[in-house]
Amino acid sequence: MSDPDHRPATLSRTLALLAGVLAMLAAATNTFAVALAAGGFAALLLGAFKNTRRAVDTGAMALGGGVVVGAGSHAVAAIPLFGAVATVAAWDLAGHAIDVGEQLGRGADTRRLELVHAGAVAAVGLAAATAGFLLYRIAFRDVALSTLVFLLFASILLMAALRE
Amino acid sequence: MSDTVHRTERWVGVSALAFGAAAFGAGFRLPAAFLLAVVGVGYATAARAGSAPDVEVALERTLDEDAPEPGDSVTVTLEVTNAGERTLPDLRVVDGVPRTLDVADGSPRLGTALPPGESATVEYDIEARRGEHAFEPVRIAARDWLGTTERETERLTHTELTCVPELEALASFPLRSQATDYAGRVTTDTAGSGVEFHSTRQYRRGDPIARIDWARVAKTGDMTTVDFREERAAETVVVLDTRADAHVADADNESAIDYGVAAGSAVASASLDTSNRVGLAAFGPRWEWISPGLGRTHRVRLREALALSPAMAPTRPPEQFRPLVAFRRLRERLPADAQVVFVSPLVDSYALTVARRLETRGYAVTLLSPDVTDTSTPGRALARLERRRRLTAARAVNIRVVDWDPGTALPVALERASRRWRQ
Repeated sequence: MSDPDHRPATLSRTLALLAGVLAMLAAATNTFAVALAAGGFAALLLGAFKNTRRAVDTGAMALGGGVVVGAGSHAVAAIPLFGAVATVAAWDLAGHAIDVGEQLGRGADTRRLELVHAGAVAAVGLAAATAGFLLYRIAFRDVALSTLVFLLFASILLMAALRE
Repeated sequence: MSDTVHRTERWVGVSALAFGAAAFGAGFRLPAAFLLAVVGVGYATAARAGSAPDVEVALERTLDEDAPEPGDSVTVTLEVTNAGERTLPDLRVVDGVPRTLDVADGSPRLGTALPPGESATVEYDIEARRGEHAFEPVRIAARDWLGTTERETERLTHTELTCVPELEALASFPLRSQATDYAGRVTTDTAGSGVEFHSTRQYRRGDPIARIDWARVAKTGDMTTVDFREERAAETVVVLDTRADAHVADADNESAIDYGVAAGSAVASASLDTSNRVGLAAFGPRWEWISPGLGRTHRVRLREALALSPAMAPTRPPEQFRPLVAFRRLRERLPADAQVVFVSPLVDSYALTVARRLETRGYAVTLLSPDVTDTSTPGRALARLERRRRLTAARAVNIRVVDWDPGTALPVALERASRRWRQ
């Protein structure tokens, strides 16, 4: 039996790289952030082509770091938010590409699986980002940072509760 | 039908984003950076909320051909239908291709998402091979929307691919002169009526007039009778070497057992075509015996045994082999005047021992040996030399040897071998 081609799935990988480019653009405010994000993207690219999860994880972490560091300099709060979503999407889709490639291989028809997964990841991220953005713009425009800290603490508690 | 559910741990890292952004934003008093934690928390919450869906699927597998010949490409279609109430957002299906068959084209795997009631199909081609091949359980993995948890399961849907090839066509197989008392077409060394000249002898009262040498009577007045070589029917038993040692493959990864079965089937068909009785035995851990016989029913029986008998399967048998028991069992069944066509790749010395023992016990043995050795590695080259040495040793005790290189046609090998016997 010819060994199936177990390289990462193409569709998810392409989407991951697109998301990575978006995240990199969102981080483009100061030199440090750009350097961090570009390095991260390079590692992500390497991981997605060479089939290594560690490179994908490290790359996504650096990319996320770039987005977070760049966030401070942005005039519009929405851009880093969607940059963060793009980072998570890039990281997850690259991992998913490796995963699908490993389990099913290139020969199998996996387009629907990949599209639905990418859709779900994008939907969750966009919902979270929109909620965060609305919260920031409307309700908590003038609140102190400490309030936000407590809010985050509350959401972590919620997360913990859902885990049970 | 045992399900296992496990977390894929794929979203563990997303909390790092939440905490990292929160710490950075709080530390440097940057609300915009702090806000990014919301995204991390959102993903983590959604991932936590997911649970592996129940796999309620209906499977239906169809083959496009019922009775394929070996080498034919058979298209397998597996239809997967979501029979549950919930959408399966991440469904991975791997069809259980029989271990003994190869996928020729396409992939037996599928990744899809299925709303309730919808179905998807996996389509691929497999190459049919001799024997009965049962499909194994279909492996299914289903994940939730974000892929946090995975449920793995197996579903069995019974399908079998049965491939019973026709007996190989072979014009004739040179049998040895040992024969039975039945009239037939094998020329023996016994003097009597026939076609081929044997000897002359003094006329005895009652000899047929047609066989009196009248030319001699006219010349000398002595009455002599011409004897011909008698033609009788032979009884052949094809003994296939199916011991674990004979389960070797050549450079193209074709099994010696498959070559042996092809050769045995050719010998059987040639024997039946020339009205010689032919039987079949497997000399290996799994026993198979068909007494010599003739006729259409017998042909079908041989054909099915060669294709389907577990003893002839191309996979290495797990049972332990007891050589002495097997040999005694074979001897008990072999008719006294039968000749044996022993089919073996001859890659170990015990195969030669068997051939020799049969010959010394009075069975005329023809050793038909498909050559699966090559010279790609020093070990294989050595195996080739040893095999040649065994062939020479077999010839030395008057065993007829047909050294068949499966790359060439069997009749060519037979012709080459019989030229050697005539010398």
